[in-house]
Amino acid sequence: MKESIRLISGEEISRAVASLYAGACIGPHHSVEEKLTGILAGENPGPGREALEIEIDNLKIAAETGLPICQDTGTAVVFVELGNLVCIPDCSLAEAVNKGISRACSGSYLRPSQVFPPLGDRINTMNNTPAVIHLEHVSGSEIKISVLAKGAGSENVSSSVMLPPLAGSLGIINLAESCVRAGASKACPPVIVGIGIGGNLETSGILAKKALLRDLGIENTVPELRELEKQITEKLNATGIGPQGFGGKTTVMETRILQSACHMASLPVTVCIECHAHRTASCVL
Amino acid sequence: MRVVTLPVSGEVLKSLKAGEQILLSGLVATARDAAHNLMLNTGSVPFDIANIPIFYTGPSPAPPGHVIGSCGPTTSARMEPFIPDMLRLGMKVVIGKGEMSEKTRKLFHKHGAVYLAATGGAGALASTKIKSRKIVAWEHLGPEAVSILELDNLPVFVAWDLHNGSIYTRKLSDNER
Repeated sequence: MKESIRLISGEEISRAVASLYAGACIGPHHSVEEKLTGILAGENPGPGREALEIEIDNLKIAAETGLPICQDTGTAVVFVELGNLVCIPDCSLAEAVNKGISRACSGSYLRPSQVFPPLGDRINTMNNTPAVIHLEHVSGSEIKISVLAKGAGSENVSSSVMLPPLAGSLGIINLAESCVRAGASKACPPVIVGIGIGGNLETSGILAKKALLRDLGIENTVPELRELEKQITEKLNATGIGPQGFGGKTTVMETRILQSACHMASLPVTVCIECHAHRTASCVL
Repeated sequence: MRVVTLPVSGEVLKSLKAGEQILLSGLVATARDAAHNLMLNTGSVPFDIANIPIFYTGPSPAPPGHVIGSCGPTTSARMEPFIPDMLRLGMKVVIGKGEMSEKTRKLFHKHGAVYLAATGGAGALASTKIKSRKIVAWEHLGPEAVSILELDNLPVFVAWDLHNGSIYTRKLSDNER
């Protein structure tokens, strides 16, 4: 076996991250627009439908004007799948990623929203760093980078819970329903519900976030989870909360679930709510 | 669609109905968590609170050639701890997004105040409905600084009206179902 090390400079990674993050915040987002347009066709007259029309117009205006879809350009959540043959000789991965986020923030007029320390003065870092980075070491000579601009309005109504180990599907459904009933109107619906099941306290959160990266309209490859996703979406749409909480048929665009093994005594679950302004982008270097 | 020009008269305020979409024009003041904290700690509200509605928003920076960046509403529920004091100071109209507690709704009703909901996540569209922006206090807060915006037909929905109506608990009519 003759595999050679591939060198990728920090600058190349920064450039990719900057372009992904700005692209995610501004668009165009044809798949979200298509999805919302499909939902609009099924909504009856009323303020929920009118809000949906505004949400769709907004996506078009953002792409035309170069303004961010939403003023909350989020916490930059960056998933990196780093091939084992890749070497970044000149800086750490975190340095390269944060340089990219900072560059997009100033160059594309994105809002800096990160403050430190979290208690007390909460001073804005003014470049939206640090990003939240999730690194996976995989085999190969490529780097896959996915950026999710995650707004706080929807993050604030998300929830991580340690359920009893045998709580089963019903436990998951109930948790998703309580999050959506309590918070959906604050999270700019129609929302996407990302659910991470298993792992431990921190894993379930990362799984729920990662579930949001799946392209709209792509089904879960695990039949049981695909069924559970459908069940949850239907149940949550029966609440009638509707677009912006103004009443209507669609509160949830899609539910996505990722799972992992867990301890026999636990069932960690995170429900991560994502707003209709769903902003992701990815590339492979 | 009805066009409502600010400052709004008591009569017009009374005529608003929960669920109605209106186009809002005139002056509003931006303030969110940090600015509310400062206003109440310093006892100084840097705008005419009785006549200028508060718009809960923290805009993104203005690119060259734009008055303001993306400028949609932020979650109103976070401002609930400050609302009783703001209502006592004379606040009559708030623009934000998302449902707030029943306790706060009753307080709005008691003070004759109306809650308007802009479309959350539609910040680019909102930006095109803003004619001017002037920062009036606490510039160091960046996106959270208090500024006066001149709106030009910003679409908003009447969330809570003066007649106990709420867009969030409205019974859906048959043709909305």
